[in-house]
Amino acid sequence: MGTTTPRDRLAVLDGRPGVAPDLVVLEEKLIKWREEVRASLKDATYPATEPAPDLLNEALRDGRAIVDVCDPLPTRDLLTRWSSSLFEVIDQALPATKSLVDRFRGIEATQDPDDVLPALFGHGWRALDDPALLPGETSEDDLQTLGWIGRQLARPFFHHLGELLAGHEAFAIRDVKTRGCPCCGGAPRMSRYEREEGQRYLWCELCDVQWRYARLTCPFCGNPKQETLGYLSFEDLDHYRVDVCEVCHGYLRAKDERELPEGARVDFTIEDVGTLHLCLVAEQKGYHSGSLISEGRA
Amino acid sequence: MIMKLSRRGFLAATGTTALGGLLSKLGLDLGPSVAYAEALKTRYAKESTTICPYCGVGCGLIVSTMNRNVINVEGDPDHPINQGSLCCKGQSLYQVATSDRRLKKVLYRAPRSSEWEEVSWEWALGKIADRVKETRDKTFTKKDDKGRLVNRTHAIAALGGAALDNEECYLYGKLMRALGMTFIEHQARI
Repeated sequence: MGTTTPRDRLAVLDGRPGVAPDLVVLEEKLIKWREEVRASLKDATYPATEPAPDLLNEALRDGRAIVDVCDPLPTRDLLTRWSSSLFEVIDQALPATKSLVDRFRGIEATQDPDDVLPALFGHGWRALDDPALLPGETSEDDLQTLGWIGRQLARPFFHHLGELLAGHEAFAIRDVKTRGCPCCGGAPRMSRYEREEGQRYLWCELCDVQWRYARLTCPFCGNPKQETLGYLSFEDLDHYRVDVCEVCHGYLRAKDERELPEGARVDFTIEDVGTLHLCLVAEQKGYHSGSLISEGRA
Repeated sequence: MIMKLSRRGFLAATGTTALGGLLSKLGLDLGPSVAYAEALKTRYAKESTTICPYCGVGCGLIVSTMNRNVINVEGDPDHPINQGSLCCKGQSLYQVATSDRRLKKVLYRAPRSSEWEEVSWEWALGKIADRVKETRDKTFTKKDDKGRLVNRTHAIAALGGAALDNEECYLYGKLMRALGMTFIEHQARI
């Protein structure tokens, strides 16, 4: 069996209506970059300190995220190396951001990297608005774009963390029934309805972790009242839906594996790119991305 | 149209590539997604949990409704009893709500008649009460042939449905025993 390339994975989106080719091209480059980072982390010291099994157990029992007992911040060397290569990818794929990236590079060169790069990482992970990020006059758009870049920078490290923890004997991550991601504590990005019995699994794009959650409870605000929960379904898109909560107005895209051909599985990374139109519909109807809700900022 | 997020809102959602406003700022052309989203026909539905009415196992169900009409019935994966599974009868429950053969009004067939006629609930309940009383009065036994006090009738039997819960079964048993019935059944089993 040959290795599946990012292009192979993204090929399922070819010709699918509603898919923006620009986004597919960008995602292909980002997947390749993440794979390179992940490969390098196998021989690197990351995370700096792996948490003891009893600490993991305790965190699980208390419903806390694993980042509470394990610092996800990479070393300065790793951050410097991989932020630099990420900027190259972004230079090629997103020329519109070049002036901002160049400005950030300038700041990085003149300031202590121990301040700037962790600020970018933290901005992507926890939406921390650190003054070290872009000192002086900074536009709202620039901060938003930097947040997106920081998120991309953090993803392969959190993916590594999520995989380490998912494989941990004490960490049955797929059966954890918490609202936030059991790895980073963040909000889910998408969900799937499992083929056999229709259980709902939430997915965190930062950690690439899936965990089980109740079907009829809002994954953002925890609202369990059925009369205030609903979903949007779409003509000719039988296996997609968008679950919505009328209390917090959060939305979450879902793909139903029961509607897929036998053996087909949901590839969340690809579906995330291929279902942008579902987000647009939900947002037009006044619903918000779930991460806004769970942080109490919507 | 793509929704533009406020800075404050965005900051909590950084990296949410699904948010069109951000992606546009990155210089990406999202035209195909926007056009498709605008043309999509969307329906809004709700889900409710309930219990299967057939047998005494009490499997959990999720019922989807749109404009108060049932559009789907499936096993509830979070229910501790069936964990999403349903038997063949449970799987066909959707038809109970949607079949054109479903009775929606009370039908009455008089003794020795071959025709059904539509009657009101009020009439039907009154008729049932009359007949229960008439039968009970005719057949009520105060003492058995050995002179023991029994206060019963063997002319009426009661069959309880599987969907009755504990409290309903309690009331059902009380009522039937108060009427003097001894043949009281309930499908609290498969």
